[in-house]
Amino acid sequence: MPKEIQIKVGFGDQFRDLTVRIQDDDVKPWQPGDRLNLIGQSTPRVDAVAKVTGTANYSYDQKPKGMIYGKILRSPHGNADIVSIDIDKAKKLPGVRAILTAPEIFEDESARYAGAEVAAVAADTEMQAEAALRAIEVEYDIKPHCVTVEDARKEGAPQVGRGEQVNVARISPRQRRGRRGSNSDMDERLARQEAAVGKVIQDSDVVVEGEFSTQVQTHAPLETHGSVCSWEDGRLICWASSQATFGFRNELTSNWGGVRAKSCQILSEYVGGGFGSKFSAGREGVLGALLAKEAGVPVHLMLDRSGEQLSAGNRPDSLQQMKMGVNKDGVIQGTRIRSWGTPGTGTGGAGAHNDGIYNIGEVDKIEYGVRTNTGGAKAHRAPGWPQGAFALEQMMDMAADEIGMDRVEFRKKNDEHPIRKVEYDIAKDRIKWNRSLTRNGGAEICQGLGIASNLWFSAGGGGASALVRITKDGQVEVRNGAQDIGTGTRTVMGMVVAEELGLEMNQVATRIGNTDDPQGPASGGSTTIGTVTPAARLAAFHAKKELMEIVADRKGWDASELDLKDQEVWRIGEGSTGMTFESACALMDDDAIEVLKGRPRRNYEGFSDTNAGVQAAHVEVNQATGAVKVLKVVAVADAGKILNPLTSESQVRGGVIQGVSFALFERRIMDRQKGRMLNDDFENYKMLGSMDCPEIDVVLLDVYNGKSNTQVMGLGEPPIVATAAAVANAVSDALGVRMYDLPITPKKVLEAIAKRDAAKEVPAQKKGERL
Amino acid sequence: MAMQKPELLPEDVCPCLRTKTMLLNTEYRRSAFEDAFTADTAFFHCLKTMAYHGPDGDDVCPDGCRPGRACYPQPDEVT
Amino acid sequence: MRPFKVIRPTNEKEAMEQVSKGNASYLAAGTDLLNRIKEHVASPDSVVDLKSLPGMNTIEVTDQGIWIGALVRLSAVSSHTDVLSRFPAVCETIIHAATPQIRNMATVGGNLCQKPRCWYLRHEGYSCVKNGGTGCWARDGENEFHGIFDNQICSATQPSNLAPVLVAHEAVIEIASKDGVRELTADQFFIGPSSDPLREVSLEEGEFVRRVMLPESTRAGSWAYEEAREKQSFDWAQASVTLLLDRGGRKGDHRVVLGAVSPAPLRRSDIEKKIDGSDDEIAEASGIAGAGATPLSENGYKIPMLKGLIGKAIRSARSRKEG
Repeated sequence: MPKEIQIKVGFGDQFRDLTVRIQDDDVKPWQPGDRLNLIGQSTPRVDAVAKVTGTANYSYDQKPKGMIYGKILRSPHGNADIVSIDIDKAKKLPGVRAILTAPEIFEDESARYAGAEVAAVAADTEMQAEAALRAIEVEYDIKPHCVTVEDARKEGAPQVGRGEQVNVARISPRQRRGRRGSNSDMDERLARQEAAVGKVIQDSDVVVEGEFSTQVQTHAPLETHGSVCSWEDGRLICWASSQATFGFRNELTSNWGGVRAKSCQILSEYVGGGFGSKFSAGREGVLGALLAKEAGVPVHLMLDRSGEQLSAGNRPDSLQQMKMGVNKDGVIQGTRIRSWGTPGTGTGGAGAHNDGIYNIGEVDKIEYGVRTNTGGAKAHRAPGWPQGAFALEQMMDMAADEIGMDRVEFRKKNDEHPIRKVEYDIAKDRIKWNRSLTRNGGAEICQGLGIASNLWFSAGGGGASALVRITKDGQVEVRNGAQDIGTGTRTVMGMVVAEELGLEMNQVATRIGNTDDPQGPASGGSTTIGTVTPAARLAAFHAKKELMEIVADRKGWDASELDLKDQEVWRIGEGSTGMTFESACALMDDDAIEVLKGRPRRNYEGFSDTNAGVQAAHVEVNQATGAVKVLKVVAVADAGKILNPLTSESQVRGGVIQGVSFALFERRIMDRQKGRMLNDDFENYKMLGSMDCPEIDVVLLDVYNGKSNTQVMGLGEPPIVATAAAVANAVSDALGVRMYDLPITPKKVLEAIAKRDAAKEVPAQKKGERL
Repeated sequence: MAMQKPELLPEDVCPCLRTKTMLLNTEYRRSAFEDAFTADTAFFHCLKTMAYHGPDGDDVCPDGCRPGRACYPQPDEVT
Repeated sequence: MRPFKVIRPTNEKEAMEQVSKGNASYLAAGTDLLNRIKEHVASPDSVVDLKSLPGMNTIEVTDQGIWIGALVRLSAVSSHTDVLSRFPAVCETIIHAATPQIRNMATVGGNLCQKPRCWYLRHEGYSCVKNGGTGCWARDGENEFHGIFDNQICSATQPSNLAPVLVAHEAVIEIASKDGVRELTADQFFIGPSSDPLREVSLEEGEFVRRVMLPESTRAGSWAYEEAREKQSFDWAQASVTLLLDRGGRKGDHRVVLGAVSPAPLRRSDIEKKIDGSDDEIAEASGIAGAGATPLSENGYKIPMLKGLIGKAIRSARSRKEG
């Protein structure tokens, strides 16, 4: 039975009372003015020392007794089918214990990109495994390839896929297969929409348009994909670098998979980054488990950096054509969008979210997926958003300039988010929006400002349980089997339990990343913290209740009047009874209290379902060398109630850093001749380093959204959405010429300057035309 | 522990189909999964190939991974 | 990585004998060679570790110049007080190279002898004029970071940050060879593909660099080193300009050497002549930056980049002199 409670929701000076229905055993969300000891206080990660001193054991670091090494042989060809694989020579080499071939394990004889898995070897040493790989003789049927969207879209381009697969397919609105009649209905509907929106745009006061492109960005986590697998009495134990421990297990135990373990434990105590690429066990996970089975000893199969760059995922690229009609009053009337992107050898998943965030009027949007012979894309930190925001925010500045409205005022005019309305002004103030700078290429070194917004949906949901255990001698532990991919989940889960039990951080042990513990979610959609912490708090609340009942029973007190605060038993409204937490625990008859609670149902009422967020960038551009230096990024962020400002701030910093890196440096470079990736390393795949990092000014808003008993929302993805867009707008502001392509390299800056200066000599430049 | 067909997969979709959304927000995952059918940023992979194409070489997708496809598991594969 | 044998010779003669036996390479710090072995683009059966030879890791200061042993670490050169005070441009180029960690390991000799960073050359399976095959993949491929001068046979560029400043200072490269020690000037030492596409430096079979001498007679009146690259943390130059003014106190004895745009450091006497102290020397000098360039499909931007760097270098050197 749900129960009704009164809560306050809102933020800053905007609060209102609200009645919400919550699950009957749930606990009331923390309220403004509640006396809290840990929640809302910056608390260092409990594993910070272990991580920075190198004592934290990642999957890569595991070395169970008898462990040997696995390695994967990859196709060097842009597009091929595997005709035959001869392993005779390889298996006779010293140290070789097991060899598997991809066609046999994966029922797949195609090798559709350079880097596709062909075979795997386990041997006593890494060098022996590598020598064996090189002794495997593979006969390929080499086919022509396309490795760029441009090439794959050309008339008469080589076919990337197999069978009837065409290179280009509409992915949104999705073309339904095998549903007779519906596709032509869809085509008609799209044609009507195109005409209608076209008219809306044409009838607007001003029309702006542009074609924008973004690059392929690999996830490039420091810890590569893979696992260390050990079979013990028929049970598979897998130390996996995973952002979905339970999803990983499901794939290895499923009746339809290649491994079909009867019993399996995934251990991911520490994970060196995932960014969306580690939801699946992947081919490397299957091969690791099967090599260990065949070899009869534990196998370490973690990808090398090249394998990681080639095969372990990336953010799809995009080509986005946008046309927007705007009236003089600043209201956007309509927008036409066509986009293309490559997810690798498939067609789905490469969409760009360029129609979110603002009200952009009537929308006519069609997206196409383009097959290329390249490593497959995966969800990448806010899938579709940074690339979409880049195009959209350039358009917003272009439109604002065209109608002569301040760029922030124009955004406000087309934005209804209650939190973001406040965040604009904070960002303006912190970046000094109205300062005077040498803009528009007015000097060799010029500067500019740019602003952009983000949006996310991350209040979390079901799919998690937490176990809280209080022992007779006063030890407290909380367990949930989900992983912490660097977000601080381990720390915040402990904080929530310590807060509920009136304890200090060091009195609560946390155990995570172990599928023998209660179910936890995948770390996706920025939902981990919003899913796990309400379960942890609820379990702690009920464990406390049980303890208070024991105390009340022994002391003849009324349990409903008791609470735990400051490591002592309190009488509500009166203060401490003088009984310590430890002496309360000592009153137990049993060895421990154990409470397992599932994540309570979400509150459907509340303040805001979404995170907002605004970022502003201040950049300096050297017109002599084309170098862009991001001086400062102001990141105003919100994520419901901020449980730990320190780890929240780190999330935002991480997003900004990866966003600047996307804006200026990172890109996959493909050789179109042989179809191979040329920068499958950290030398030529350039990522932001310490000297390239801007000053990052994080402002966090604390929002009581009433959505759960912890009211927290995730913050992994939102902070990367706006960064590249804001940086690009700032560069355009500094140079006086629009930047249409990411990353903004010195080459592109110098080329844009050359075109700008050439255009100055031709005064009759057509309005809106791309420079 | 061996898994039967994941409960949120619609009856007539191949049990080998996997996507990230299946691992999230299970409270309303059925609707979330339905959303993923039309999402422009969802990736689907096959448990057999661990790739974006099935054993028959064609795409893995909610519309395509249906009974009648050559690689759709036969009833006796379901143990 | 393919296994290999490590040989530690005790004298130069033994080193040369060992390296001539079969498939062997010299090893200094290994910051380049070991990576190439891991990438399977170098496959020596044995490496001859020069670090076991005596006398090659010292810096000797004399009235004629400064002798730097080939095994001296880059970081030891850039922090050496005499090098800093007498040849500051050398130190400046070094601190732009690689990372602090690599500079603490990498040696002067190794830096001069490293192979180009061309990503085709460093990927297994691309046979080209530089590894015994024919042709150049970059010419019709991805050439954004390749050379714009003398790029017809091979478009890879000389990767050493030290190379241009050594050419500008007319440094003497002392080479251990079978017939004893021989010397080359830096501009003789670095060679382009028309001499021999397989080599970037004129070391004959078995030879290695012993020392490098910076001549006192080339000390600059003023100097500048300007480099452009994508990242500030750990990246390779896309283009660089080394400028020495009034060397040895000789007015008008300038050197302009371009880096990262050609197979060997490119001295530009035509630009040097334009640096004449006139009001428009910057426009004149930078205006001819691209003379003789033959840019490829993706690297034409290096011409405006060089123009910008030449302007910056002249302003920087002039202000240093006056300041």
